[in-house]
Amino acid sequence: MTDSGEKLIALLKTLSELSGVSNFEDEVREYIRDFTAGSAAEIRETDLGGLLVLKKGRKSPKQPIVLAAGMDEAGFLVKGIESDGKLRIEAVDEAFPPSVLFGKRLKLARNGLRGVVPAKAIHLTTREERGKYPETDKLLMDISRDSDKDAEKVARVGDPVVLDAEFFELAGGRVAGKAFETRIPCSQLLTLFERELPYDTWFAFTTRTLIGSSGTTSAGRMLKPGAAVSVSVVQALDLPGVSAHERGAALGEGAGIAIRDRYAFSDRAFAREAAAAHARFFSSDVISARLYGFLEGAPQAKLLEVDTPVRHLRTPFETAALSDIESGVDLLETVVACAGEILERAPESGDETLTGTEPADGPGGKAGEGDE
Amino acid sequence: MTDYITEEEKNALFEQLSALSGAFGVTGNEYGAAAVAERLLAPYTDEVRTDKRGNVVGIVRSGIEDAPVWVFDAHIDQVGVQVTGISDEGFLGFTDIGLDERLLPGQVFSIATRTGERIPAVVTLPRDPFALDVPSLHTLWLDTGMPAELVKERVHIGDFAAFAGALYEIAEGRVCGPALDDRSCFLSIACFARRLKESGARLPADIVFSGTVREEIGGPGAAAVAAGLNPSLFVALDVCHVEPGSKEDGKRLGGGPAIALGGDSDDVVSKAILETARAKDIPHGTYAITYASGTNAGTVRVTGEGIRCAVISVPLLYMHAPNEIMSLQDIAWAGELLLHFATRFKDDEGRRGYRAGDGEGGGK
Repeated sequence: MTDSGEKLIALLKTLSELSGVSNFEDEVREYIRDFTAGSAAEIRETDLGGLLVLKKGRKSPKQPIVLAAGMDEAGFLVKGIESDGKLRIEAVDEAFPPSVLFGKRLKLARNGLRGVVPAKAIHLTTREERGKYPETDKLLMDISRDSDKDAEKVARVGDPVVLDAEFFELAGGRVAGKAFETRIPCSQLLTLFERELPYDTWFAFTTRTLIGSSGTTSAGRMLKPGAAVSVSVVQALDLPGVSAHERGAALGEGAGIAIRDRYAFSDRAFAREAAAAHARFFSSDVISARLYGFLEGAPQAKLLEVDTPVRHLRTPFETAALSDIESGVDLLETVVACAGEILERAPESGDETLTGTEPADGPGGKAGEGDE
Repeated sequence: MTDYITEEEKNALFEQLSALSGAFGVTGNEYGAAAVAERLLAPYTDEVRTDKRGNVVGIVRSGIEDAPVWVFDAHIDQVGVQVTGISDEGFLGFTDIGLDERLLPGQVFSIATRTGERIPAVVTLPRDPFALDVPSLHTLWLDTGMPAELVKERVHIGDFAAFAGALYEIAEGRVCGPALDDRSCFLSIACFARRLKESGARLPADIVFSGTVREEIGGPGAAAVAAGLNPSLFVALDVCHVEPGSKEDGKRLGGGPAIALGGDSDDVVSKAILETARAKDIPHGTYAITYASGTNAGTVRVTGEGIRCAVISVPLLYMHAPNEIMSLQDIAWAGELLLHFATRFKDDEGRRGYRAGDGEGGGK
């Protein structure tokens, strides 16, 4: 393993194990602030709790270039406390399917107190019970307190709850842990931040990306970028029996450019140029919609979505290949160079206002596919 | 005996239970758990060994010629899964041993390989993860995340996997983790062994402490111990349910060991245990078993010419799940109860007037 590989693993482990349910990203933000403080030219905090960090490059672009990653993770809020001391919890925006939660470990983010989703002993269940998952709107967290009075000493309504998941460094250059959906992108931005860059670049670490994209929209409005890149992940369904149509991406095949997220498209020319080297194209429709946030907050910008494949999304064991994460960092470095060059060539006032809504037609791209 | 264990004792129990809970011992491959169990018994027994079946057997001799043998047993195997096949892509097919299949998707396991290496792996999600129907085991895979060639090199058909996740203290004196069924009861037995040594008491029988294998598939491990030693008394320590809403309410977390009455439990012995608990003021519960206890006692009582058994349970929540919950205090109290019971019990108690044909328990 190279030094840079080890450094990346340590960084991702730290980020993965931090708690930051949407709207409660403070731990992650403060970590990133400390990480970047030494070499940032400027750091701004948005009113929505995001962090905008400027890193000087060799040249200044004609208009700002921004790379954005979310800081939040899928999680829950405490909704109430039962008389027997269990916490009623609610997933933020259907964060997890019921099949993933049954019997799993959770953690109260505020005080690190751990608990579990009850899983009644199989011996006591009926056949009907064994055949169905409990509805997610009846989710409980058992913190082994015997009354609401005891539970209220350690938990309050509104407290954020995260998966309690360990980070694993696996053999064969693979890693596993929770919250990879946003923390891999954060680790890629922080790794790139430490490199010497061709152009000045804004690194936006945004909030609430998993519950709409208000954090990304806000960053777009504050920075008024000429090029805005959303950095996220793409679902790798590279499992036995999954057809090529459905598999999305595969571990080990590299990070790439997403032609679209659920609502927005990468800019056609930007994508083609940035991918010229060797990048792959994905058609990404992962749960989140971060590129859309820029469509809303920076409609004038050339948009691009850069994604890294992750397997078992929204589980305690999201799995990724280090080589993919590293290739994403390299791709982003290329993207910054391309963005600077495109902005140098572009007319002063952009007349290509449709860039956000036009499908890219890169290699393998599906030109003419309808929007939704 | 209403005092709580001291902070120091609690910490020691937590350390020992962590070692037991973290040791590998899925039914069929209990060697890791056996090694920890043997280490725990060694300081307090005259002799301890792992027998041909993999059972851990520790003995405290009475010094009396032809002394009767009393066995105090807890099983050391645990539920888990076993690898049944490896796909071209390096994903593992598997079958389960005693699990609720609802627990599987997204659950992290630890595979024990042939070389003794431990490899983490996760169960894949159903194709429609949001469906409320529980997926069939045959549609799920265990994924190590490793590239296929590495998987094929390290993992083999037949390898076992246990729930991953270290033991932790979930609330004051309450612990949460895997395999507490039945390693917690083994710890009660080890507490008994330690207290017996400390007390210097001389007992009228050779005392055997056993940690037996394969209870989850019917108890052949315990049967082998019983057949080999022909004890006059076999006390099975095994966990019992304390789920809210379960009808049996004579037991609760933190309420002390629960003494089983009926079923595989000999009436005279269980009453003697109950009287000991009352006399020594040891917190305890009781519960009725009308037929089979589902413990090693069920197998052992029909071993050889029939062996007198009793069942004592330690209350446990979410049995067979990755995160079982129980009270450290209950474990200590169960050990204390065993010490005082063994000190008071007379082997011929209840045997007077015994005639062949007088069945024990129900069933006739």
